[in-house]
Amino acid sequence: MTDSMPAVLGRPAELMLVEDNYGDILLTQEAFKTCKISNRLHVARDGEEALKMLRKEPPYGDQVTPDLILLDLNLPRKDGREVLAEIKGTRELAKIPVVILTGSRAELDVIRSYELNANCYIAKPIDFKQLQTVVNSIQDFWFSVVLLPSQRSREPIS
Amino acid sequence: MNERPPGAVFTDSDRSVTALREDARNGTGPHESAEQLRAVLDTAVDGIILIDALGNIRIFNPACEKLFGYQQNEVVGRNVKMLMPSPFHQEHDRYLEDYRRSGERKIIGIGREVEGRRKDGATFPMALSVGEAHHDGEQLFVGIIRDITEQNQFKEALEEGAEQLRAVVDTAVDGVILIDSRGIVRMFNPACEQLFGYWQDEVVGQNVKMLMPAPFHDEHDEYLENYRRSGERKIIGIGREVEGRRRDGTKFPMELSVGEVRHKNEPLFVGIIRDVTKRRQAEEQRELMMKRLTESDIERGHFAHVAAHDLGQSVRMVSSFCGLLSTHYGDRLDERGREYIALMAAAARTMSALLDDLVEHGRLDFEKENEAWFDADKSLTDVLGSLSETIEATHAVVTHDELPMMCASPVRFARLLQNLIGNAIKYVAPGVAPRVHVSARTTADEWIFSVADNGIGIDPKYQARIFEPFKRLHTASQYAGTGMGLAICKKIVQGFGGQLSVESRPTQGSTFTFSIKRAQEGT
Repeated sequence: MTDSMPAVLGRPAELMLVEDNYGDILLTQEAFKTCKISNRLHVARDGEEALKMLRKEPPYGDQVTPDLILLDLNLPRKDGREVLAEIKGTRELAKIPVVILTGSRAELDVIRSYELNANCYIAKPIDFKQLQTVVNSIQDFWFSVVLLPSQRSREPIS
Repeated sequence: MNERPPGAVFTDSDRSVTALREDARNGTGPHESAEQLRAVLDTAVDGIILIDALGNIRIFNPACEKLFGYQQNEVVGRNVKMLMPSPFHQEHDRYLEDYRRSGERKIIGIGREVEGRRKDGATFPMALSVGEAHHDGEQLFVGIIRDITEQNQFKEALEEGAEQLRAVVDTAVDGVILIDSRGIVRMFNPACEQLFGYWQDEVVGQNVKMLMPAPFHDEHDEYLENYRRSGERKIIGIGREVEGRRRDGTKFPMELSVGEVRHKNEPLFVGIIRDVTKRRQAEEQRELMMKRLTESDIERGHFAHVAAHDLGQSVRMVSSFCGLLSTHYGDRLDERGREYIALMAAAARTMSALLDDLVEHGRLDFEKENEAWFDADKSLTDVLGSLSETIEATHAVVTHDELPMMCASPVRFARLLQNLIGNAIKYVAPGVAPRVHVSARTTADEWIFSVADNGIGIDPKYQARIFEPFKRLHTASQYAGTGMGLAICKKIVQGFGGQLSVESRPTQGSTFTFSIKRAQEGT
C-alpha cells in the first residue's frame, strides 16, 4: 500500500502543507498516510514560515522545494492570499502548483484565488471520509495524471 | 360784450377756450364764440362753476347739476358755500375775504381734493381746481370739479393691497430682500433682520454684498454687471443654496431664490431667503446615521462571515475526528459508544448545514449577483440534475410547463427552484411518491412561477411563519432541515423585486408561487 514511488517523479512526492490549525494538520497527515504513493508532507504553520521554507531562508536552508503546495487561506500573520500572490509573483516559485485547501466556500475567495493564479481550489469537506477522497484525488491527479515542472527540470537536457 | 359769458376769459388752459381765442383773432364773431363756449359748458364731463369775489354762483353747468343734485336755477346767484359741508361751509367766506386782503393762495391755481355736499346732504370726494380771472375789473373764480369717489375707492383698494402686501412681507417667515440693478437694497423685511442681525435702516440703501461672505462679496457687482450686459442667468429665476453673512461675521447656509421684476423700466430683484441651517444639520445627521448603519451592516456581515468560517472550522473538526474515531477505534467501543459518536457526527453535520445557510442568507443582503438573460427551462433541468439522487430515492415525479427566457441572477434563480422543489419532494407523507409540477406564466411586467406538490400541506395558521429564518414546523427526526430554506427563498425573491406566497391545506399539498419583476427584452 505504501511507498510506491510516483511514476512521474521516481522518488517520494514532496508536499508542503501551509496550515495553522493543528486538527487540520493531523487530519491531512492521516489522509495522506493511507495513500497509495509515498510522500513527504512538510508543514508550515503560517504564511511567513511557508515563504521562508520555500526561499530556503534560515533556518530552512536544507528545505527541499515541494512538488505541490496545499495552502489554507485563513492564516495568522501573512494570510493565504498574500502567500499565494508572493509565490506566483516569484519566478522560481511560480511554477509550483498551488492547491487552495480551505474551509471557505465564499465565492469571492474562490474567484480571488484563481485571479491570483491558484492552480485549483478545494473546500475542506465536512467529514473525514470525504477528506480522504479529496486527498486521494489530489494524489491521483497531481502525481499520476499531470506532468510536473519539478520532474521536467530534473531531466538532463538532451 | 355783455352777452359774452363771464367764463370765457379765465379758462385759458381749456383747449376749447384757446380755440375760441383763435376764433376771435381770426375775426369770427363773439356771438359765435359764446355759443361755442356754451356748448363746451353744457357738454363738459367735469363740473364747472363760476363764482364772483363774494362767492356768489354765476355759472353752474349741467355736469354740476348731476354732481350736486341741484338745478341750475336753484344755485345761480346763491353763495357757493351751500355746496360745501362743514367746516368749509362756515369758513369759505373768510377764505375769500382773506385772499382778497392778503393775496395768499390756499387753493387758487393749485387744485386739491375736497368734499362736496349734495342737495340731499350727502358728501362726496371731489378734485377741485380753481382758477382766477379778472373781467371788467371784477375778480372771478372758476372751479373745475371732478367726482373722485370711484378713483378714491380704487386708490383705497390699491393702498389696501399694498398694505396687505406689506403685512405679508413684514410677517413672512422667509427673508425678503429687494435690490435694484446696482445691488442697492431697497427693502429688507423683519425676517431678514432676524436672519442677518442687521436692522432694516442699516441695510436699506447699502449694497447687498454686505450680506455675503467671500468670494460672493467681491464678485456680486460683477454678477449684476454681467447679467445687465449678457442677460445670462446665474441664479435669477432659479434659486440655489448659498451662504449668507451675518452682522457678526458668521456664515449660515441659506436657500435663495431670486426673481426679477421691472418697475418703471428699471429691473429690480427680489430675493427670498430661507435659513437652511437646521435642514443642513438634519441632512448631515441623516448621512452620518446612514454611514454608521452601513458600517455596522458591513461589520455585521463581516462578523457573520468570520464567525461562520471559524465556527465552521470547529464543526468540521468535530465531524472529522468523529469519523477518525469511528474508523480507527470503533471496534474497541461497544454499541452504545458507537451510537454516541454517530449522534455527535450527525449534530456536527446539522450545524455545518446551518452555518452554510446562515452565510448564504447573509450574503443575499451583502452581495449583488450579476443578472443575465437565461433559459429558465435549462436552469430547471440543471436543478433536477442536482436533485437526481433524491428524486430517484423517493421515486418522485417532477413535471413542468415550458419555462420562459428570463433575466435575473441565474445562480439565485436555480437556488430558488432547488429549495422549493427540494421541499416539495421532502415534505410528503411516509410512503408517498412525491409528485411535483412546475408551471410558469408571463404577464406584462412579471414572470410568475409555481411549484405545486402532493405533500403534507401546511396549516394556514403557520403559513406566514414558514418564511421566517429558523422557523420549523417539524422535528429533525420527522423531516431534516435547518429552517433557513424558505427564508433564503424569500430573500432571493425580494431581490428579484417579486413576491413569494403559498397556498396550502393540510394533507392537500402545497403550491408555492413566486414572481419576478420583468426586465425588458434586450436589456
